[in-house]
Amino acid sequence: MREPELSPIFRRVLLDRGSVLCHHSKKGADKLIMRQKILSWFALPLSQAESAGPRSLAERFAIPHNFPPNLSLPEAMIRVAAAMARILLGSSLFAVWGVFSARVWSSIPSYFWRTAAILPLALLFLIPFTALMAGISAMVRAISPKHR
Amino acid sequence: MELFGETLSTGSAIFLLLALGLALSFEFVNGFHDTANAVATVIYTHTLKPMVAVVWSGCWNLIGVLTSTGAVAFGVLALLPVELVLNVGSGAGFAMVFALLIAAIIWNLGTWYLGLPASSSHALIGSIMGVGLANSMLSKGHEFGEGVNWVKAKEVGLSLLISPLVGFVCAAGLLLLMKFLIRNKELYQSPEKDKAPPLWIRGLLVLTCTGVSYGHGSNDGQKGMGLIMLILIGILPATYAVDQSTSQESIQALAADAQAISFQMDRHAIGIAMAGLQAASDDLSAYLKTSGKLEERTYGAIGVKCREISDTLSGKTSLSELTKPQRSLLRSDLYLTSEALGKILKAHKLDDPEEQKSAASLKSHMDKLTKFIPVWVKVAVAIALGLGTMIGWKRIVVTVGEKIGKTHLTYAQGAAAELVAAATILAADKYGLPVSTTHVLSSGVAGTMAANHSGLQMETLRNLLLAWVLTLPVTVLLGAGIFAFVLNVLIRFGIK
Repeated sequence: MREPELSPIFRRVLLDRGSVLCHHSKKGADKLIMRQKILSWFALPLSQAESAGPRSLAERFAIPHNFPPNLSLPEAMIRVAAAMARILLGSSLFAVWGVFSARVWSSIPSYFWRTAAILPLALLFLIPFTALMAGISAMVRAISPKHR
Repeated sequence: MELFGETLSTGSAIFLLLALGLALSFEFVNGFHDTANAVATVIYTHTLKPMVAVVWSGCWNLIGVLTSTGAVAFGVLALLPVELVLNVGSGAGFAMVFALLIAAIIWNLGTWYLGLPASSSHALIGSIMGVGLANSMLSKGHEFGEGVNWVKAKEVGLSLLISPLVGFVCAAGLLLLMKFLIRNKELYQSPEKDKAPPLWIRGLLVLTCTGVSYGHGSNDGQKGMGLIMLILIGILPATYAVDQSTSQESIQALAADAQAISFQMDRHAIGIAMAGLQAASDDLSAYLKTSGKLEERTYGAIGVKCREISDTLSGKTSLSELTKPQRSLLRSDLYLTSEALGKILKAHKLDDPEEQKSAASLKSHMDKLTKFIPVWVKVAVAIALGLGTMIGWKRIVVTVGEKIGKTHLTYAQGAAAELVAAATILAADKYGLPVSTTHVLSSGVAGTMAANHSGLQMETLRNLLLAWVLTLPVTVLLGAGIFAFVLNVLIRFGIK
């Protein structure tokens, strides 16, 4: 039968458990495992290099670098707050831009100029939207425990 | 200002676009969570390259969304308090939309960042129940818990509870059957690093991935569509309250059916004097609450509403002939009457088979007018789902592929789990029931691991169960809290 191949994370968990079990009684070992587990929730994440590996251009597009795997609880909370900020502020920006664009659009009488206005209006949304997303990313990097 | 063919104040226009942005964001986050399940096995087994898989899955999600009936969308909306559904344009309606979207998004994001396959469906339904409970606590003259449609909640809860068990048992059974019928060893091996499986296995896995993607689009996509329709009906009632493309024949058939039912209902309410249309609306709203009892007045109220509907529609060739306020009023009448007839039929309170038949026919005609989804809404939801998939698939792929069983997923296990997931979702779709793609697929993988004697990683299963158990209570609390907060803020700003 083929030996099961373990993921790096799972292998590490097993190794940690093994070393603990060799040195303590079962009850003590259980306590230690639990303590380690609780501490691990608040600890820094495992090295990103363990699970990332080299990626193709397409994969880099599919997995943006702002979503690293194996987050600890505080990091996950920061990411959730950042994602909510992206969603709420991005939606608000879209709403304000949409109302402004509708006003501009309806004030242009010529069909030709209306068509010509599409690109500048789109850019008027995309530029602040990109800046907003980049700003939130920079803020996350600044407050993330990993970067301290 | 002019938006979507209607004149809106700047405040309403901003709210509309903000709510649409949030609803599409919910679908985008749903894409992180759920659509990744569809591509998990094909990416994990190197059957398709990640980019090809997510684009392929996105296309089938789009087809699934476009061909969906809308039954699930309106089934989810039936969980909301009637008075809020009829008054989405009010302050409480605004608070409801924001609360249920934000609560579901927060929980989905939180569990996604921790790699927990929690259910987007559970999250949305939990936040809907939270809003209903908070509404019953905050509104005068309501009993606690009255705001939730408990009958529908029970139905939905059962489907969410049973579907993972179906996934577990059926996937395990299917794997054993495959082992008995298909004796090819290649099918029962784990994927080798960077090596694609034989062509026929790739074909099988692509087929099952296609089924799950299609099923997901047709079931999960509808939840976002339902929310968007709720927003559109609340803010743009003249355009979206009723389906204006309804044919003249359908309009006249509805008018005739409504007239016939009004006579039948009057026979159940002899000697009951109805004060007017508003009194009839109040009676029907009271009946639709969980504690609502069927009285002779209820039959009388349905009769009044049916006569009103028939009078409004008689002689009309198109619904665009009605004025904007008439269309809004017609929608409220249709909604209340249809829901009340549905509740009466479900409770078997009509003894005469002829009466049952005509009531069911009228309900179906009414639903066609109010339960419709424009193509642009379907396309927008499908795009949001697809974009979510492209960004968030990786985390769930690893959980499904490596963390459920003690050995890695084999080709046969992936195919069996996906085939069962697709069949379960499509069957639920047919009955208008929302199910969790995440739980059906995860439990399917767990079932195949058990059948294969591979063993299960108890830590991951515990996390899965924890997410399963915690999702409803946490989202109920989040939904209720956010609803109360937003409502308070709106009242302070004088928006009622």
